[in-house]
Amino acid sequence: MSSKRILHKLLSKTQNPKQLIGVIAGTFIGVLLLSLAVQIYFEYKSLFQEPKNDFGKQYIIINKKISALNTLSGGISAFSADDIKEIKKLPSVQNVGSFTANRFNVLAELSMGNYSPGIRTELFFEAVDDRFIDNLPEDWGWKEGQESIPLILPADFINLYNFTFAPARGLPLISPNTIKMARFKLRLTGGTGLKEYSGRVVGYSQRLNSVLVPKNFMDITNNALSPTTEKEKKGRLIVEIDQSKSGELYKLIKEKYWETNESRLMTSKFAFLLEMILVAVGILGIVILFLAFFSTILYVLLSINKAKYEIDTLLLLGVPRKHIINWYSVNIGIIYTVIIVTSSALVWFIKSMVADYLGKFGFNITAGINPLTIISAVAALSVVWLIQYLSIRKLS
Amino acid sequence: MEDSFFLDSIKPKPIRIVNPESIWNQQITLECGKFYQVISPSGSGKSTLIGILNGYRKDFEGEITFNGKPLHHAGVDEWISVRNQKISTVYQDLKLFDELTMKENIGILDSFTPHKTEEFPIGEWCSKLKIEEKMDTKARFLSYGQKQRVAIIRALNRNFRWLMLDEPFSHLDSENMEAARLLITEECRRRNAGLIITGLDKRFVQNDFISLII
Repeated sequence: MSSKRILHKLLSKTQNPKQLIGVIAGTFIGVLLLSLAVQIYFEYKSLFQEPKNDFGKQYIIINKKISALNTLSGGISAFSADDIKEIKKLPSVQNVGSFTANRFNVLAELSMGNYSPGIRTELFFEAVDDRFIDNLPEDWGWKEGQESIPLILPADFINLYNFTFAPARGLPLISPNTIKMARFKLRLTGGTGLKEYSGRVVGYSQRLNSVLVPKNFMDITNNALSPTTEKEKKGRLIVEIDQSKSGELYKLIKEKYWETNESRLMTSKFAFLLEMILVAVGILGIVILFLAFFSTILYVLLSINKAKYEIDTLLLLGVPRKHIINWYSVNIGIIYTVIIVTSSALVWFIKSMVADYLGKFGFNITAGINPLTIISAVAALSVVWLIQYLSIRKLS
Repeated sequence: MEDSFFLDSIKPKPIRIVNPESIWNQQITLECGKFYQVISPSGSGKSTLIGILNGYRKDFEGEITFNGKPLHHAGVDEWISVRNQKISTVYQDLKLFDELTMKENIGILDSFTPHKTEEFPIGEWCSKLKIEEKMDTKARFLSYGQKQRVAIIRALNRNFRWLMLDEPFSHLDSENMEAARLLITEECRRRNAGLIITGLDKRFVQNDFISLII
């Protein structure tokens, strides 16, 4: 008979199934919460966060307030060269760019086949240096003579359409990828003539709330369709700053009575809140894991105590201690492995359910479980297992 | 002498010494290969002596030396290695596992150490003690007398230089007691091992045994 079978016969009768199930359930819940928090954190990062190389940077869009005076004069209040100089002087500011607006009319048409009138709408474009665009698509850019114009839409557009416009009109919901397949007819008219292009959406920006076209296209077409001798007016600025030192810029904005994209700030506040919630869930998971770990230790010590006669006798008869220590450690290890496998499977299952659901609203969530989720669960339980191993080792 | 015990002024802390002839507080050598019978009224520390010689009783004053090495301050592991290699014991409470069969109890070391039970004539010993038909019976279904014989056979089923038995015959009839005594002395002589028995009935006190008075 193998040593494991003998030990199983002698030691398993000292186990209490109800307590054991409680201890396992506690550990399972702790690991599951930890795994979920880690997994959701990574999903959320890939969905909402800026790309990695932008880490620690923040982009703030500034404009001057539009007052009744602007309405009367018909012109916008542009930033002066001095204003820009002042912003650039701030140590936290890394880059300042300005938006260029179109000086021509844009009419976009989307035909829906022969028997449908299609959609026709006036549009406006803006252009900005490429460096300020997040998630810059591969097929971004324009060369003179190129028939097709790449467009970047604000990511919120799709949401606005899907959540408000489409249900109200009984139109089908569309995913970001569906729109990418559509070709628009763009009719640009200015003081000196008309140009026709085809437009296609190549990407979405979380950062910029504008329909963006490549900067060189905007400059060339502006000059061609409505040439002007006036200096370009800088109505909106985009400022790249060090996120940790954004305070000075906000102070300047307040002093000058300028406006910023507060909604973006709200988003980042929301993101911060979500992050805090995830951290809280993660910490809760670790706390539960910690409690479960203590109850496991207590349970193991209790069952060692209940098996005192068997263990002492085995040792007196000359059975090496390692067999008894290993029996407990290996069994805990097996239980922990099962817990990691089942909790990872459950996280995977929950994730695919959520991905299906969110997919309907145009969120693209990749399938599968993040390896770091499993790694964090394995790491947490390994530490717990090791401490238990050491405490059992000391005792018997 | 090799594998002998030397007790230097050993005095168990909980025991009041009344008998001036007692081995406590004296210098005594227990020579390997010789047979000892511990004689004393009950409650005077027979089991304590077995515990001290086995290294699991530490509540005593004085020095104990085995094979020339002082063991009083030896660590648990050192004691375990002496016990595993040199000493085999039948404890007063037998220390059998109720859930295991007689066969599993006798061969317990096979599962955990390189020990091989088939190298020992277990069947012959069992028939001498008349318990061969109980081989597959769980220990908890055996009578106390049968358990005592199983514990004796388990103690013989290993290599040892000392065999220690703490009141091994208390529940045996005279026929079985004689058979067990013969088997034990025979095995110890064959292996040139030392023997310590407590609780021998006065009627069975043997002349070739050295008496240790407690």
